[in-house]
Amino acid sequence: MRYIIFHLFIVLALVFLNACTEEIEMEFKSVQPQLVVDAVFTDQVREHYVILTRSSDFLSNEPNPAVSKATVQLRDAYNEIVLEELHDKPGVYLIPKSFRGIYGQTYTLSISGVDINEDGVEEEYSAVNTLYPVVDIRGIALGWSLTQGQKAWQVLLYTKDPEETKDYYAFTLYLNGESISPKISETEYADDKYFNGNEVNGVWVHSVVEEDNEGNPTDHVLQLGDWVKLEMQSINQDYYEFIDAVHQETGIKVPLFSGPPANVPTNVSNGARGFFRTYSLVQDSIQVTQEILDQRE
Amino acid sequence: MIKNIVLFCLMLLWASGIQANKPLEKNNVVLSGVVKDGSTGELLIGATIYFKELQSGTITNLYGFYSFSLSPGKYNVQFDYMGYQAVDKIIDLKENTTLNIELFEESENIQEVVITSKKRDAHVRDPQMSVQKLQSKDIKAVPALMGEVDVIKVLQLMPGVQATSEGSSGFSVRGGNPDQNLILLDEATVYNAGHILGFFSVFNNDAIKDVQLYKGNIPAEYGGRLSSLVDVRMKDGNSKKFEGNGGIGLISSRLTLQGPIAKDKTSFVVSGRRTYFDLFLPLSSDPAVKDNKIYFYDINAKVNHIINDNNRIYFSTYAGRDVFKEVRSEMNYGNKTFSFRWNHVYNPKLFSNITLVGSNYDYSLTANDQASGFKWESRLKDYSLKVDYNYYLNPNNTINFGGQTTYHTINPGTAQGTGEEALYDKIVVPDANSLEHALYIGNTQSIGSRLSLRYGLRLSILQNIGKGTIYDFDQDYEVEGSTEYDKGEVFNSYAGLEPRLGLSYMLNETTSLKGSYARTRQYLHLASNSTSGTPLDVWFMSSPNVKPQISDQFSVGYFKNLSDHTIETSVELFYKDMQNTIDFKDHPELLLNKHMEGEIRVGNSWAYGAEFLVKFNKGKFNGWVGYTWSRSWRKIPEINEGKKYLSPYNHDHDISIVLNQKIGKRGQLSANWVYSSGAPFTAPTGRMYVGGDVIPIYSSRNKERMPDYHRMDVSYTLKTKNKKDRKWEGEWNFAIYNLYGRKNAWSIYYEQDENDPYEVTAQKTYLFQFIPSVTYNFKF
Repeated sequence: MRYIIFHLFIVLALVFLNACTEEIEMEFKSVQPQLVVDAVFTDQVREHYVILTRSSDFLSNEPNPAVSKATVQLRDAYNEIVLEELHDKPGVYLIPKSFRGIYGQTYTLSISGVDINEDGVEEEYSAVNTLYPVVDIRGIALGWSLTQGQKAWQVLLYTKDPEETKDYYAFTLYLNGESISPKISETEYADDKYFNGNEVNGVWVHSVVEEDNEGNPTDHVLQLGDWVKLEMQSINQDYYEFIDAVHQETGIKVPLFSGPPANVPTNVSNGARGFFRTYSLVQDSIQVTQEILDQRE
Repeated sequence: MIKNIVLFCLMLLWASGIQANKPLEKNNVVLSGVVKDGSTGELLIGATIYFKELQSGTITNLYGFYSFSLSPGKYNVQFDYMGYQAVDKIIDLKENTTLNIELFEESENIQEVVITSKKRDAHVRDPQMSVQKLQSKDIKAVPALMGEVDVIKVLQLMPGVQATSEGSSGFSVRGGNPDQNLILLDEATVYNAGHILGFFSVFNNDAIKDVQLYKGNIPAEYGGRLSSLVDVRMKDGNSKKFEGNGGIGLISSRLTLQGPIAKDKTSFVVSGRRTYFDLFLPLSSDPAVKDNKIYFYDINAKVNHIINDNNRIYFSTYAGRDVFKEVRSEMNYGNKTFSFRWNHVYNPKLFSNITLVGSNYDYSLTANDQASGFKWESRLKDYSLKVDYNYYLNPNNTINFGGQTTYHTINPGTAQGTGEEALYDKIVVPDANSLEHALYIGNTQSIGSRLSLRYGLRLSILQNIGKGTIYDFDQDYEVEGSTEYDKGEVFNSYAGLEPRLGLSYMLNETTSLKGSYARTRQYLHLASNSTSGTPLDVWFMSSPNVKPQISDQFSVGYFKNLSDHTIETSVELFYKDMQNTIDFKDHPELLLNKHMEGEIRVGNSWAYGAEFLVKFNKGKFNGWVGYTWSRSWRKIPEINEGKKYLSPYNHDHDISIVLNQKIGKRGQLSANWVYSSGAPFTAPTGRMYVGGDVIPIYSSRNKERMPDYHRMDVSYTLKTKNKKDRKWEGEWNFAIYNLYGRKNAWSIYYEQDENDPYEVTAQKTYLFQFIPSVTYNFKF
C-alpha cells in the first residue's frame, strides 16, 4: 500500500506540475573504498554467485574493481563450504549446485583475506540471513490498465497469505523466459502488515508496461501466444527494507514526498556495503490468449 | 538565567503597579474608542494616537480599540494609520470620553505632502522587534505565480523567512522547521496552509485585512510553536455600503461580496475562490486524462455585529478543499475553521475579548481497484477557548493577561480495503487526545521618553488524555510493549514557563536600539521528513516518548528611520538555541504507522544570523531590500554519526528585492528578485553495483549544496479608465514569474543509462520556468 501511495504522488506531482528534468554537471567528493557484497542464495537447485567489488567514485561510470583472491565461505547448521573464484570472472565466487538452500536454515557468508582499506592488515566480514518457506501461487491473470499515464498489463496474483507468520514478498517478471525486471529497483515488493492471513484474489503485483507515461512504446508489447511468468520470492524483513531503500535511492526524487537521501541498509558487518540476499521462490506462468488481448482499449 | 528573567518580569510588573498608585494620577480621565476606515467601517489594527503636548501616545489593538489616561485638559491629538490621511483633533478633556475616529485612505496626489507632518516612528519606538506587518494591498502589489496573489509568498520575501522549496507555501523562519510556525486565521490554527500540493496558500487575499509575522519575541499571549507566529486577520465586512470585488485569472476566479446588514451595526463579508483548469480535461482525447479532476476552492465568510459601544461580536469561518482524481485513485484534503469572538469593554481602561475557535484538517486517499483498493483517512480537530484582557493601567503601562485551553484530537490514520474482493484489513492508528492550556500576563511599559519595554510570562501545560495507547520502545527503538489508558484519564503532563522580553531604547528621534529574549515551547509536531510540505500531514503530540521542543531566542537590533520616516532601516542579529529537536531515522515510515514514535530521533539544534532590511515609501515608488546571512545546525546522536549537520532549511545568503513604481495615474510596475544560496543536500561520495543497480553511497548528511537559487518576477497593473457615472472599476494585471527562465533545481536524482548499466548521470528537476499570467480584477 505504501508503494502504491508513493507512486501515486510522484505521478501527481510530475504530471500536474509539469516538472522538467535535465542533466546537471556536478562534482562529487570521493572517500576510501569499501567492500561491496552482491550475493544471492535461494532454495533452487542451481548455481549461485557471490560478487565482491570495491566501491568507487560516484561518477566513475565503469564496473567497480573486483575483489579477487578472497577467502569466501558459506555455512549453515550442518555444512560449511569454501567458494571458488571463477577463473574468467575475477571477484565472482561460485556457490555450487550441490549446496542447496533449505527453509528455516540460517546461512552465514564469511569473507576474509582481503585488505580493502589498504592498511596492510586483512579484514574479516560476515553476513547472516535466513531462508523463509515459500507461499504457493494459486494462479495469475492479466488485466489491461490505463493509469498513471501508462498503458500496461497488470499482473494479478491469486494466493493466500499465511496467518501465523509475518510475510514479506518480492515479485519479478519474465516475458517468454527472459527477465523484464532484472534490477532490484524493478522488483515489486509488499509486506502483509495490512492483509495478514487474507485471501489474495487478483491483486495487482507487477506490470508489463507497453507504453510509458511519455507515450513511448516499450519492447514489451504482448503478442498472442506470449508467456508471462511471475516469480514470487519469500523474503525477510531486512531484505524487504533493503529493496524499499533501493527504490527510494535510485528513483526520481520529489521534495514533496522524498526524505533526505540516506544509505541503503546492509547485512554485511564491519563497514562493508551491499547485501547477502537469501529467499525461496515460486513461479507461475500465463499464456496470452485472444481473450486477454481483447481487453486492450 | 530563566529564573532571573522571570524575577525581572515580576519586578517590573510590580513596579508598574506602584506607578499606577501614584496620587498624582488619581484624577486622570480616559480617552478611549475605536479607529476605523471611514469608507468601509473596517477596524484599523495598529493605528497610532499621538498626543502632541505629551509627546506620547498609544496604538489600537487587534480590534481597533485604544485607551489612554491623562490629566484633564486641552490636547492636540493626531490619529494616524499607514496609507491613510492623519486626522488632527483638539480635544478638551474633562471626563472619561469615548471618541471613535474614522480615517480615510490617502489619495495618491496628496500623499507626498501630508506625509511630512506625521509622527511615524513606531518602527523605531515600538519595543516589539522581529515583526513584519503587511496589508492586503501590499500583498497584491507583488508579482505572483500564475497571478494567484498570495500572502505567504510575500512573507517569504522578508529577511529571515525562506520558502522550503521552489514555489512552496511552506516556509522556514530563522532556520526553524515549517511545523514551528503558528499560522492563525482569525485566531483559528490553520494546520496546512497549502493548496495544490502546497504551491498556493489557502489565504484568499480579497478576504484579508491584515497580516503580522513575528519571527521571534512572540507576544506572551501566543505560544505553542517555536519559530514564528503568522497572525492573519480577515476583513470584518463593509458596514457603510454594499460592494463587491473579484478577479478572473488563468487558473482561478474569485468573488467577494460585503456590505451592511444594518448600517454601521452589522456587516458581512463572503469571499470565494475556485480553480478551473480541470474544466478543460474532458476535452482531452486521452481516455486516461479525460476523467481526471484537479481543483481547489476556498470560502471565507464573516459577520460582525455591534451590540453597543461596549460590546461587539464576530463570527468567521473558512473552508477549503483540494481534490485530485485520476482513473484509479483519488485524494482530497482541506482545512475548516470557525471563530466566534466577543469584544467587551468593561470600562474605558479594560478591554476584553473572548474567542471560541474550532479547527479541522483532514485528508482522504482512495485507490479504486477491485482487489487492492483501499480508503485511507486522517483527521486532526481542535476546539479552543481563549480569553484576553487589555488593561490600560496608565499612559506608561498596558497590561495584557488571559488564558487559553485547547482540546486536540488527532486521528493519524484509518485505512481499510474497498471493493468486493478487498484484500486489506481495517487498520486504525490509535487516536491521540490532549489538552493544551496556557496562562499569560504581560506589560508594555514606557520608562521616560527613551525606554520602552514589553515583557511577559506564559505558563503552558500539555496533558495527554485517554483513550490512548502508548508504546514502549527499547534502546533500538523496537516496540517492547504498550499501555492502554481509559477515556478521560490524564496519563502524562508537561508544563513550563515561557518568559518573553523586548525593549527599545531611543538614541534620538529616529534611531533606536532594541533587544529581545523569548522562550517558546512546542507540544505538537509534524511527522514529515520532506523538505517541502505535503498534504499527507500527520501531526503528533508530545507524549511520554516525545518531549516538548523548547527554544530560547535572543535578538538585538539597530533601527533607524531616514528621510522623514519614509525610509525604515534595520539590522537584527539573532541566536536561537533549541532543545529536543525532532528529526527522523533514515528511510522512516511515517504514515499509517502505529509505532511512528519509534522513527523519531531527538537532539539539539541552534541557529544564528543577521538580517538587514531597508523599506521605503516615496509615494509613487516603494518597496524593500532585505538581506539575511544565517546558519542553522542540528546535532542528533543517531544521525550523521552524531556529528553536527546543517538543517535542510539552511541558506547562508538570502536576498529579496521588491520594487513598485506607479506609472501615470493608472499604471503600476512591480518587480522582485530573490537570491538564496543553495540548500544543503546529501551528495553521494561513492557508488556500489548491487543487483543490477548503481546505488549511491553517502558519508555525511547535508554536507554539499544545491545550485544557488535566483529568480525575477515582474508585473504590470493597469486600471481601466474610470467613468464618473459608473461604479465599476476594473484593472488588468500582467505578470511573469521567473522572467529570465532560470532552471532552479527542485530536486536532484541519479539516472542509470538504459544501455550502459554502469553509466550514471545526475539529473535535476525544475518547475516554473517563465510563467506568464493575466488577471482581470474588478470592483463595484
